[in-house]
Amino acid sequence: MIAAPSVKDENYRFTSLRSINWNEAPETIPVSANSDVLPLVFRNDAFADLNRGYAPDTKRILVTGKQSGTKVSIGHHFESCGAIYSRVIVEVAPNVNVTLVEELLGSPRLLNQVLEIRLGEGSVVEWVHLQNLSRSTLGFLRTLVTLEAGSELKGIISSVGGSKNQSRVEVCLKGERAQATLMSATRGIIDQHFDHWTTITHDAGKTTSSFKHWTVMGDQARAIFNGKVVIPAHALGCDAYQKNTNLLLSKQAVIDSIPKLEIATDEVKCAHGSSISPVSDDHLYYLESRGIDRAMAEGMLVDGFTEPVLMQISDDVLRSQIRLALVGHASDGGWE
Amino acid sequence: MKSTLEIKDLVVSVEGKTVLHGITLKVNTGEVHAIMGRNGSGKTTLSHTLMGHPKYKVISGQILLNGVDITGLSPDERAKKRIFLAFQYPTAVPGVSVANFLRTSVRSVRGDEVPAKEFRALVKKELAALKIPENFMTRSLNDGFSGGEKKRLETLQMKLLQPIFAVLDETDSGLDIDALKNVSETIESMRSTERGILLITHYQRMLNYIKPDHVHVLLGGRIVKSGGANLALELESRGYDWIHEANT
Repeated sequence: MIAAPSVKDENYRFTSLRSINWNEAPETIPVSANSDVLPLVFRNDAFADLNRGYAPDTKRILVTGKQSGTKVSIGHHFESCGAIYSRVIVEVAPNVNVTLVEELLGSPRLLNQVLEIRLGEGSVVEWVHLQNLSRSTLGFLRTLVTLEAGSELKGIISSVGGSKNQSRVEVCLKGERAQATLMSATRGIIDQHFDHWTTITHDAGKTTSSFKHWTVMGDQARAIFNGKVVIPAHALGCDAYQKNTNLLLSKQAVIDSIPKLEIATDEVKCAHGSSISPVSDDHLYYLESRGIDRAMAEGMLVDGFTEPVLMQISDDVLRSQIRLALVGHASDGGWE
Repeated sequence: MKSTLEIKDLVVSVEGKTVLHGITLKVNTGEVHAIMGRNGSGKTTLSHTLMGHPKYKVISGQILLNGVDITGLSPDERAKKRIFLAFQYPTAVPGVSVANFLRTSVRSVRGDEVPAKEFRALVKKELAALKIPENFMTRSLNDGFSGGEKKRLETLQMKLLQPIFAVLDETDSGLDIDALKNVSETIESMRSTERGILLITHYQRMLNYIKPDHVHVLLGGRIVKSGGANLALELESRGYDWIHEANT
């Protein structure tokens, strides 16, 4: 029996598990689970522990030089069903360049997923994550990305689906000169709940990270940004940047932003920031002064808010697809 | 048909402070009026009040377009009546592409859809005339633009929207000599019997390209002197002190 994390736990402070079936058993429970592959970082994480107990065999994807320069899908389209427990490991061989597309679609009652992405030395990975589950799904996602020396991660994370979601992303820069650039966009409506719990650990010197997280919350939706950068004493010459930018569209929507730094050395460059605001009056006035009525101007500004994230997606088709999920139309209405 | 934009005894406050103290001015189509004045004389307040900025409160007076009071209209309603303001400091709007913005704006002001092919052809022609690279269209609106790029984009919008009355708020600021010439010539090319222009500036230099029919001096929120094009030349050589002294 795994105990539910309490709201007294800092990382669950805003995500109460009371009155939801967070630990629903899958319809078929595997005889033996693959306990050895659970990433160490997720030990003592109730959801990862459940995943270890309930997930069927781990799906392993090895990306080698043969797939270099290609797009590899690691996504799932779940049918309407009960609880799903899934565990995936993607290993990217050294010096391989690949785009990993992770789409989470469909309408399970509960999705508990552990994903591990391992970047070999000198590899370059664009990881595009779209969580567009049904608005009735409980989503608990755990992702660990490890980067060996000289590897580069560009992560584009977009979240629009689910009812109550907690997405924990751990990025560990293990080798010197590894670089992680993450951009994330979340859009919530009605009473959706998004808890983004992210830790970026610089475990080697001269590593670089940048994490920019945009959130748009309307109606009675709620979002939490619980983002931490960790730089231990031995990791000298690191550069870390973290920014959380939020747009509130209603008086009932709630956003809690908690950017954190845990730095044990002086020889680093670190910056973080956070802002929460409604649609800018100056932006509205400028658009209105060009004949665009207020409702349309607001729509353009809200849709455009997450565009900086979309612009980072190198594949045009993928960008259109994720724009469609985020703002309801595939084109930015522009020039192409 | 001749149109008029008439400002009648306009008193305007910003954040509780009265800035304009009774401005009266009539601009007809076919005319170019220059408004000159020192910093803080109320020039920008006048331009934003004409466009309907909600921060600028009209305490008394009226703005009439062809005799109809438009003082209570929203900015978009004024734009649809073909009033245009070229901003002194155009607002940067990250995430909204220039192309999307222009197309939505042109459609809103015209009141009908502009076919994509027609829109592209129209914009490409104007981009070339203003020496604006085509990749501007996919950039976020004014985001990361230089001062000169922003002013060129304001001028492009004026070309596309074809206003009946255009208010240009210090369009010459932030422009180098070549850009000033290019932008000024574009504005001059838009001079027509069917358009009135209110040109707000500190300096004579833009007026070398766009010769005004009337020049007004704004001081302390009032028009204290009006004259012909020569008044601008006199201000360039003598400064504003003599006008200030004559009015205190």
